[in-house]
Amino acid sequence: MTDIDERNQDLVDRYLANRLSDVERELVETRIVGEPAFRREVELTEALRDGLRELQARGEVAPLLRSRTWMWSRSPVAIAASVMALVFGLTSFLLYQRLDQPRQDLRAASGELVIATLLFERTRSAQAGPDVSWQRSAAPTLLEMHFDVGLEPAAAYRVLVERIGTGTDATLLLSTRAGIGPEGDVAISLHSALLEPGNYRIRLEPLPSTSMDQESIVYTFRVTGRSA
Amino acid sequence: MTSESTVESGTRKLIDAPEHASDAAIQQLRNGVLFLLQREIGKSALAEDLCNEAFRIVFERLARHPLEDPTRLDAYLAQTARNLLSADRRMKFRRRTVTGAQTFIDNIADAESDPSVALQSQSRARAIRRVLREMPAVRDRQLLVRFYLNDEDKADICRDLNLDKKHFNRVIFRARERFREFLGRRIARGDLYCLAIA
Repeated sequence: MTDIDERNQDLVDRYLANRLSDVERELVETRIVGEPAFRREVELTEALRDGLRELQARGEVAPLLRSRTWMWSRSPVAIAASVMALVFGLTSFLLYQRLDQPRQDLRAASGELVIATLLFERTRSAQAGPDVSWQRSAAPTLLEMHFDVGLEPAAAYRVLVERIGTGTDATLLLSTRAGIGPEGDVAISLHSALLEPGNYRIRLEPLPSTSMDQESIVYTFRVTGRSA
Repeated sequence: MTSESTVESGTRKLIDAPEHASDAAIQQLRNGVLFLLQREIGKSALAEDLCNEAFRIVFERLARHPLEDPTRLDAYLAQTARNLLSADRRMKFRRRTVTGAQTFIDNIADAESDPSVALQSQSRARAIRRVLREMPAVRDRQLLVRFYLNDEDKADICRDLNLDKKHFNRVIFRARERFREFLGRRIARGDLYCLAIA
C-alpha cells in the first residue's frame, strides 16, 4: 500500500498521538498485527514522528520554521535580486551553450557514438578497490557518469578526474563544475578517447568551498581493455 | 498472491496446523506483535521475549482449544501481548526496591545504547529534514511540525493557519510520500553497500 485513505490515516495519526479510546486503540492494534500494509503505514508515520523528535533534539526544527524569504518583503532588495538572477541566468545559459558545444559537435560528428551510463555509489573508503570498472570497446563511447552524493548534497561540486600513475603520481585529466541533477546526483560526461586503460580517481569537492559540513567525496574508477 | 492473502491463509494454517504454517505468515504476525511491544517499551530484549511468550501462549491455547472464529487470531495475539506487558509492569512494580539512589542510577543508563537505533533515528531525521527543506511555504512546515511533533489537534491547526481541511490533508499526504521516498532511497543504497561488501 503506497497510500492510505483519509479515514485510516486519521486513525493512525490519532493512535500514535494517544488520542484513541481504549476500544479504538484495541481495534487499531488488532489491525497492526493482522494487516501488514496497515502496520507499515503506522511504522512510516511513527518513523516520521521519530525523525522530527530527533531534529528537535538537535535544535534544528526552529530554524526550519523560519521564513527563508524575509528579504523578499523588501521591494528594493527583491527588485535588485530579480535583476541579478536574470543576468546570472542569461550568463549561465550563454556559458553553458559555449561549454556544451564540443559535446554537441562530437555527437554530430560521430553517428555511431555509443552511450554508456556508469553509476558510482557512495563508498566510505577509497582504499576498497575501484568503485566501477569499465572495459573499453572498439566503438567510440560517451561515458555518462552519475555520482551518488548522499541525501544532503552541496549546491554544486568541482569534479576532478585524475589518472593514477605509479606511486603517488597523478595526472589531472579534467576539472569541471557540476550541479545536482534532477535525480539528486551529480553527472558528468567523458569521451572514451580520453581514457587510457588504468586507474582513475574522481574527486567531488563541494562548492562553495567554505561549506563546513561537507567533505570531498572520492570515487575510484578502473579502465580495462586495449589502448586507443 | 498479496501479502494480505498470504497472511490470511497462513493464519488459517496457524490455527489448523501450526507446524505447517508458512514462515512468512508467522513472521508478518510477529512483526505486528513486536511493533506493539516495542512502541510501549522500546527496542529491547524484553520486547522480543514478551513477543515470543505471546506466541507460545497462543500456540498452546490453539493446541488445546482451536478458536471458534479464526479471523480473531490477530486480536487474540494483540490482547495476549498487552496482557503480558501489563503483567510484566505489575511484577516490576511489586519488586521495585527504593534505595534513594535509584534516580541517580537511572540517569546513568545510556538512552542510546543500541547503535542501530541511533543510526535509524539519524536516517529518519535526515529524511524529514529534507522533506521540510523542500516545502516552500513556512505555513506547511509549521503544519507538519505542529501536527506530528507537538500533537496539536488538526482543527486547531487549520484554524490558526487559516487552512481548509483539504489543504491540510494534501500537505500531510505529500510530506508522507516524500518521506517514504527518501527513507526508501536511503535503505536501498544501504542495502547495495552491504551487498558490495559481501
